[in-house]
Amino acid sequence: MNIDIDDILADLDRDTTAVDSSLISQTHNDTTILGSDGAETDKLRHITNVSPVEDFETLITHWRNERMSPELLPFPHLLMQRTLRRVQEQVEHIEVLSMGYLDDTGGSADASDSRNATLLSKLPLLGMEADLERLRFVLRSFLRCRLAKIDKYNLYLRQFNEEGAAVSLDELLSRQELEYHERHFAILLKLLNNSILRHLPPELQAVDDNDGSVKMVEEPEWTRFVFVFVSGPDPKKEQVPDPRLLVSETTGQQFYPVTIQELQEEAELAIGGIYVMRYNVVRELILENKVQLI
Amino acid sequence: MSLPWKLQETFSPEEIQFIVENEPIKIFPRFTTKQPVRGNQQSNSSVQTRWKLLTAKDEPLNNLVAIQTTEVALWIALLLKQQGKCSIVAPGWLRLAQLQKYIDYELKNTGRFSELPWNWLVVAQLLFSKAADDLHDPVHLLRGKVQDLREIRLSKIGQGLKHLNESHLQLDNLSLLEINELRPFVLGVMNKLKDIHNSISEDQEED
Repeated sequence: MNIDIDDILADLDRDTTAVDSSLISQTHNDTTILGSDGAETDKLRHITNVSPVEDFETLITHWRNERMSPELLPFPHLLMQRTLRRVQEQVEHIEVLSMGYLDDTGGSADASDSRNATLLSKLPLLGMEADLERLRFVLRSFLRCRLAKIDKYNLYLRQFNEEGAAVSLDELLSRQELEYHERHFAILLKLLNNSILRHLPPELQAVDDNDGSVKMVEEPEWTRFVFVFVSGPDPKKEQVPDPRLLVSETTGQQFYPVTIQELQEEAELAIGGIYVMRYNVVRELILENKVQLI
Repeated sequence: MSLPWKLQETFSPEEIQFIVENEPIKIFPRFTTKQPVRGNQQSNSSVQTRWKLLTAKDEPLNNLVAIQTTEVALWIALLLKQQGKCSIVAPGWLRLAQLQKYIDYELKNTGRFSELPWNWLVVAQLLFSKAADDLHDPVHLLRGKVQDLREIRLSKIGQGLKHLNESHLQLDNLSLLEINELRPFVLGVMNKLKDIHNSISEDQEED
């Protein structure tokens, strides 16, 4: 029995990879009625099971992908909500804990013994502060990297707002990023208009003119090379074998077949291997989290 | 821009170290945090602060028993080590005999890299500098072996750079730090080769 579970997986992954899951699940809905019983419970179990550690691991993956990919990847809304809430709670928790230490210092008898005791009891506090700093660093670096890309693809991203775009802009960006994008573009446009553009003839005044000799809208470099690690499907999440995954006849290894369109070449991405690939070739596998950028 | 240009296409070595520091490692703790199940000295033990972490598992840290191996994240191990509260158990591959096996393998198979863990360079460097007294073998000998491995692999990488092309490359078992230092060069060259190839095929289509 071969059930197509792509939509369920996309549902599970919604917060992490944020592919257009609503769209996918609508189109595939009829095919999964067969397996919906098991899938529903599986989904529920999974949602209740999100642990901070797992979330941190996903965040690290997102961060690394974002840093290395030429395009702006969709924003992991739910993941970020959870993480930011946890940071807030942890800050408060640490503050409450350190209030406790103020009371402690009063009545201690033996000097050397108490020093040892305070070090031991403060060790968790030290660890928790370091831990919080590490999490904050990843968050900060992730968001800064996204802001740099929003700057770079300013004009390109504006096209997503127009009709007929595959992904809507609010799915791609967070609320704050949307605001940054809007306002930053307005400021930049004002500067250009005031300093140069108003002195030009009207037909040359557009900043997003793609018909001239040089395209003014900078698109992501889709064919840029990236280093990828083929992690394969997550064994914890997927029971049904991935239909895309093929088994090689010569070596018995599992691999993903991919096609490099520009060269009309076939290539095999074996699980556990490291490759240098064009980004557009592995883009879908990255969004499905089968492959990671390194 | 909001991200320094140095970091836009690659990771800094410090960030590579950061990623590696999230990996688990075994330690011998030198103190106990596990609450005694039937101890009635509640006045003493209930005051103790509990670990509550966001990025790493905190159960093992709340159940430490002195001289009983536990697995914690590397950064916690280094933090505890700094305070003299634990000793780190070196991973299995960081032994003279094991490293010699890797070296032999590297010398025998010129076409491929041996299956060292993806973080070997960083872990070796961290343990040598911060936990040198915990290693089984003398550090200067281990350092020598690691350096040997590094040089053999570097020469192989040098050989491999002859094969840069415009379609793809397979580099199994290359460690993260090695990839990171190769990255700007390999990607730059391959991107240029790709551009040249594209312009040639466009010309042919026009003819």
